[in-house]
Amino acid sequence: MSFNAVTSSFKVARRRKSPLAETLQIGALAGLAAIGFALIGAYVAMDKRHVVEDTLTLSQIAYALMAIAAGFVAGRDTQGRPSGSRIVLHGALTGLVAGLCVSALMLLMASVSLRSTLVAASPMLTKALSLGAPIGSLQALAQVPILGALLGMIGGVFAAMPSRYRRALTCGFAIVLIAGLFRDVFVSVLDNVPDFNGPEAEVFGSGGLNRVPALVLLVAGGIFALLRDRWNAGHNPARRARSSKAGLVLLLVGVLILPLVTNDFVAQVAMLVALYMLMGMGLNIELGLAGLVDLGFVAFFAVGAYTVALMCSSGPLALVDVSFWVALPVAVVLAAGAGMLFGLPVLRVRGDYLAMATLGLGEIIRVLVLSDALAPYLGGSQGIIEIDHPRIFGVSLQSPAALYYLALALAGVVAFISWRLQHARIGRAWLAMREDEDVAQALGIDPVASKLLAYTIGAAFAGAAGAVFAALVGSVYPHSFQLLVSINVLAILVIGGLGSLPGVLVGAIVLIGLPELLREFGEFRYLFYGIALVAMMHMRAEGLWPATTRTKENARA
Amino acid sequence: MLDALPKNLLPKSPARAPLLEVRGLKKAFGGMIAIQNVDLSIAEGSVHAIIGPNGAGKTTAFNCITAFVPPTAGTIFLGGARIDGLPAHVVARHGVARTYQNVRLFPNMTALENVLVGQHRRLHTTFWEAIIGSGRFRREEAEARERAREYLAFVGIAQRAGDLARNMPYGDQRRLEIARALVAGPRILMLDEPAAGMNPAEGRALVELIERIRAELGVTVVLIEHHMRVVMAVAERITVFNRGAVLTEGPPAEIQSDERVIEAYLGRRSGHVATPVVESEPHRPMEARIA
Ligand SMILES: Nc1ncnc2c1ncn2[C@@H]1O[C@H](COP(=O)(O)OP(=O)(O)O)[C@@H](O)[C@H]1O
Ligand SMILES: [Mg+2]
Repeated sequence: MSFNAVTSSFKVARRRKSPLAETLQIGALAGLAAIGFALIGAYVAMDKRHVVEDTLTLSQIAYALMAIAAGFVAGRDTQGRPSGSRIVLHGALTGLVAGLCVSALMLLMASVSLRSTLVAASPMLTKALSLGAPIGSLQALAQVPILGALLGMIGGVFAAMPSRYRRALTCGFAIVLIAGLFRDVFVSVLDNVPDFNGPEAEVFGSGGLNRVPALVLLVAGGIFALLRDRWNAGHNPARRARSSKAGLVLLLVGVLILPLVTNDFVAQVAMLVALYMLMGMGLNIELGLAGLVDLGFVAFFAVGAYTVALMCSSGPLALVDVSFWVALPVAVVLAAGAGMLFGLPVLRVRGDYLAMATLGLGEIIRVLVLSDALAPYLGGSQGIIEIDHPRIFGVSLQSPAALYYLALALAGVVAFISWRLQHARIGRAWLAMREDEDVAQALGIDPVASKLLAYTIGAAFAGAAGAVFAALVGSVYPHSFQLLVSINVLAILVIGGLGSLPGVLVGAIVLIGLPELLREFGEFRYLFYGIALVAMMHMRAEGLWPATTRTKENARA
Repeated sequence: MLDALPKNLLPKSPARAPLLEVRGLKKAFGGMIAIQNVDLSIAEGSVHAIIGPNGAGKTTAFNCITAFVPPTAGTIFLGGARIDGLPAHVVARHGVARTYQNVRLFPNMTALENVLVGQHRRLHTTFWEAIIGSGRFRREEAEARERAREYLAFVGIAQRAGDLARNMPYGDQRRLEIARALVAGPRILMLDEPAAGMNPAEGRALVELIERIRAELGVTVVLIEHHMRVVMAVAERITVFNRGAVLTEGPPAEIQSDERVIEAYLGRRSGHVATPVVESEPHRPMEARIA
């Protein structure tokens, strides 16, 4: 798929204006963004969240980032690198303009009541924007532009400093932000560490990081980034490969011990992530390797789930009542069979048409389950309930952590199979088909047969995920099999990097795990999610953990 | 079979059985007839060149033979078996391999991986064996890698095994494309303008490579080429295409002195005695000279 084509259309050519006009314009844009942020209610909502206890809230960080980004852009655009004074000046100017916009909003809110049209323009907003100064005072109005100028200046300096230090600062800041934002997860981990409850040693306060630990993390993150840069210096591929491997090992260890050291809520989220990872691995074979755009992935997920539901439920609709371990292979085989049956006619069409055809399939399955004809067997919208939990050696897997390990183990098996196939004749044929179908065929690769195999294996993996889903949740309903599931899985692959197995893990964590952990921000998280995704596709279209590093390593081996 | 051929197509020098035989080939794109009435007979073990002005239909003939596009009419035999109407991957399995006028590698795969894909029809382990990692699978995989390196060395780019195809210099990409085609063990190799964009030294190296392909691997070579030094150096026979049809066919010496060939390249300009076909510089393709 030509995601590059899509994302490159965002790259608007910038016209050259006088530097001053451009700087003012950037400042005004940042100011408008800040006003918009406040007026949709995001500022107040995110102001409740402290990243650094009693010092910095999330919305203050968002505002600071806007000013820094504006200063960064203004600073970067001045071509003369050495003229540091100008970089600083222009950075400060953008920040000042952005800050003035916010002050203007405060003035406006003080003199006119906007609440009838803009619900978010409340006294609470005015109070939050005043940063503790008396509301409506000169101090309240003046401090925002001054802070803005300061931060814009920092942005300008940031643009001018060597990239090594820039990366170090970014890394340190990201670590503080992550630690503060996901305080609950880390607190639950720390709670499980013995001898860690002296109040002085507490890293986290009631809302976020405490000040000293935040500073320590900032510095530690910076030093880590600097050290990593030195380690990777000189574009030494073997070293790079080693550090990438080390990253993977760390990630895997984290994934393995996570539910043991946190609470049930985090384990539940982890379970969901593992489930999506399982599906991601399946779609990775279709889309990542063979280049098949499949939007009906959820159909095979449903086949797997309903198979287990019918075979393992103690409810009235059950056909048999057998162990999950018997039902799982049946579900996989049935899903694979469904994939093959549907793939035969559909895989002859190319590219975008395939997406359309598979999109239809996903909906057909859901509508079929809801239909009157099948309702007596599949329960219609009532679904099938009372599905037994899987048992291992007579122990029922019921806790989120146990179910997490079940899903994770299956994901591991699937990852192993994908990895093996990827490095075999068939996997290379898939990659070749993705790159250039005509040429691949001229080399003797049967396009329909190899696509069908990819599609069938993908469907089988989806069936496995569906089976686990039914066992995890204990019930299946048609509404669990919405188009959104297919799209989420697709997005996981794109975010993580098409064709990359670690990418699936990263994508599932970022796209499924983080939104669950950030529930407190309600619908706002989707807004910022969208912005983050667009920005990411713009800056890093190949995904967070792209597959090309694998290709290069593999060839050197 | 041979009796049925028109007289002028019968091989003149030592009678060798034709490996590839094309009869009455026609291809129309909508209303535009790209080629028609094309007869070709390629002797087994020979190097056969196809020349002709741009747009004469040479690539289209290649595309029809390799089933890249379906021919509108005509029959194609390879070693006595009829291959027209078969899908491209089946034609490939009959032993037809090719390169492309605009290099078409798998750009995001390494040189080694490109050649591994070329071995698709030589490898036989099933996907179950791949999953469990059976001994046979591992042996075959190791052999495939070894063979891939051999063929990269054969075309002279062994040191590029780990490079992504898209990062390779143009000349090496052309060589890689030849290696990818050869590694399948074809009976006939069809090269579409292999010397395009090469300097004289690279052109000479290409001539040497083609001779080795024929002599060491025993593969029959058909090449479309504009560089006359390359054509004259390697080809035993030359077929001249013009305006979608075969203009003439014969050994190099005959073609070189054929008035009609010169006319086809120059347009009808009477009194022109020079033979531009031979004099053209290798790095200046013939089409640049056509008015
Ligand atoms: N896929 C196609 N669709 C339409 N016209 C084509 C196509 N391929 C080739 N042609 C036309 O057929 C004619 C012969 O082209 P080609 O075989 O590429 O010539 P040559 O290789 O001899 O330079 C040209 O006029 C070209 O425009
Ligand atoms: Mg051509």
